Amino acid sequence: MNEFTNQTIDISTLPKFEETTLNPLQKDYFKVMLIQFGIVFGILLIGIIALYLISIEELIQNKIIYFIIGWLVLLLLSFLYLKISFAKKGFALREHDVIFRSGVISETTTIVTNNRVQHVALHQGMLSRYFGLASIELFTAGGSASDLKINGLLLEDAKKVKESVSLKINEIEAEVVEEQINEDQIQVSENNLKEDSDEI
Amino acid sequence: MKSNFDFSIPQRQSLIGVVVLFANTLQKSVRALWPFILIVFFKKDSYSAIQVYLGIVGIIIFIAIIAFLRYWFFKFYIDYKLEEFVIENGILNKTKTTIPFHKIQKVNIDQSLIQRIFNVHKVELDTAGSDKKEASISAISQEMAVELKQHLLENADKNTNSTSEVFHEEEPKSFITIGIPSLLKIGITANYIKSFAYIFLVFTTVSDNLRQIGRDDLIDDNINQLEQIPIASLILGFLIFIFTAIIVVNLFITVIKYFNFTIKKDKKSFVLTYGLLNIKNTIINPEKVQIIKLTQNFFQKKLDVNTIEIFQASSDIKRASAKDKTKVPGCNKSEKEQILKLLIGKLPQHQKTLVPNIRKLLLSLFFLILIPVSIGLIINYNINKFTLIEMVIVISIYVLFFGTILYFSYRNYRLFISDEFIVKQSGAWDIDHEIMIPYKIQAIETQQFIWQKITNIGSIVLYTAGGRVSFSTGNYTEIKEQVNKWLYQVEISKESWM
Repeated sequence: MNEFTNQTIDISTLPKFEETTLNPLQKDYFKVMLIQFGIVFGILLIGIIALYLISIEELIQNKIIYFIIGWLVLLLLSFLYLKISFAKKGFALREHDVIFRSGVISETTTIVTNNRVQHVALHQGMLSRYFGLASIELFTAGGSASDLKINGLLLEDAKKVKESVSLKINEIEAEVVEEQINEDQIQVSENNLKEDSDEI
Repeated sequence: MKSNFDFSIPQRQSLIGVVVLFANTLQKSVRALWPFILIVFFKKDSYSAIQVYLGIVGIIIFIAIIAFLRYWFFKFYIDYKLEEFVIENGILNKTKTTIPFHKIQKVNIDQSLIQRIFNVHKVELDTAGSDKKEASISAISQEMAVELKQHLLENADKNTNSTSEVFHEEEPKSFITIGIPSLLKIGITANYIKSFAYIFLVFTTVSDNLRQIGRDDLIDDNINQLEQIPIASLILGFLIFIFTAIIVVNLFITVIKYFNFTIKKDKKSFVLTYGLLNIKNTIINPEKVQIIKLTQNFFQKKLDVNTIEIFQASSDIKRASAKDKTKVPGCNKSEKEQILKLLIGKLPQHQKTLVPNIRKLLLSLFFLILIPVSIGLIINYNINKFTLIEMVIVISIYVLFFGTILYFSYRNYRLFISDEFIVKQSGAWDIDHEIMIPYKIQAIETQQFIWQKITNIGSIVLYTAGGRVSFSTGNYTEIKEQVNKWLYQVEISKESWM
């Protein structure tokens, strides 16, 4: 608490978060999303074919073409949505915070500052590992709604984010210990590379 | 220090404590069994008087035995070697609770109404890392309570050595006491909906139970009688009845729950004590306070009472939860200001005000008035149940009622901003002011629908460890400006947010 100052903040001179250039997600991550997408629609198609083969009733057999058309339309729309939502996603690492933007119809920007992060988790699913990708999750005390998860980062990038944020956590922790306010220790889980099973 | 008690050997509570435990068990049993009691009461014709009395006596003896067993098996002692305080209890399922000295933060001595009558005291231990009372002894004599407290704090002291003054602590001075008049004011002006729900619940349970025991004729008879009264006076009577019932229930609940509400300052934190039957103790640590919510409606403004809710960061899991909410019912303006000054140092002022776009009002009018009214009209056009005049009356009442609510909630929707505080004002009847401090923000989220880009409208959510505050349909440029400022404030802040 040395040299306490209390100047009025000049808002116009502050760095603007909205003008930060955001990095797009890795192109390979789109492939991961496409494969997952393909699996879902593949299963759907198999279901329709199975229905066609199993059913004895004339009615369903005659209408099967509509099922296929419906499937195609759904496929096209979902593909478009996937493409746009992928293009819309972006993140930026600033000196003091992490910015993540997403959303097709409703564009949401989440900002978590490094000194408020409780712990960091690094996830890597099976597909992601094949492409050398990882996702990172920043946990804050603001509840699960304010946790920030960024998918589709290069593993090295994800590790870098984790390290830089962890560094900040450790710094704060050290300060806290120094000041003897030491409440509960913030745990930085070092056992990273958790399997992200829901990605498959 | 001279000691009259040896806490290293297991101690029981005061023998008179059995009475307290008895009352406690009785209260619990009545609460659990009241539908059953009600059934017996209504069916009493089918039992002989002796049966009823024998039953009552039997139950009381049974409860007394349980109370005695609870007393007998409840033991507490200090394990000086392992440096912990131990409580053993349970009749069939034995529980052993151990609390290491270094975790003990505070030892409270209290008395509820029953405990006051029998001159026994309750001792409660507050521990770090949990907001729950982990250990409590419900009935021991005053000397024992005081000595136990000293022993515990003395030993807790040796271990932590950071809070060396704890032992010498004098009884903290009481700083605000909320009297019966304020409670009565709150009782008649707040929580109408909650009390209505409560009455409704009681009524349905009672009628359900009557039906089960085949006495629904009781209700049917009454309803038949009511049907002979003209409809207008019936509705009027019903409204008056409901309204009085709500107010009476409100008054009772408020007074019982918040009787003798006192705030005591205790070094850094302060302690709230309240309750008539169950005395409750809550510690508030200003550092941990994340959001303060002031609520006042029109009547309360005229009567000069406020309700204050304090949201603290939960220490358990460091996650926001509604349970860490503390309510201060009914304090007047100067008390409110005193509490605010204690919690956040000064009264919030604002330099900048964000107002919602008129589209917010139009949108809610569209969804809550235009759409329901059109649906109603279409349905009525098809089924022709009501005449045109009836429809016009119903619709105009609906539009007037909801229109007023929507208009006022739009007019009251404001975000006041200063360098030190963010205050969100909202509500149509009960007007809330949610106060938060920028450096306690955990994360910020801004949101905009694609069609809002043309009109430059957007929303913001501010997350803290004690809940979130959101503001929607505001000028997006202004919002982004403020976000940059808040980010700056969070990032340079060295202050502990909890």
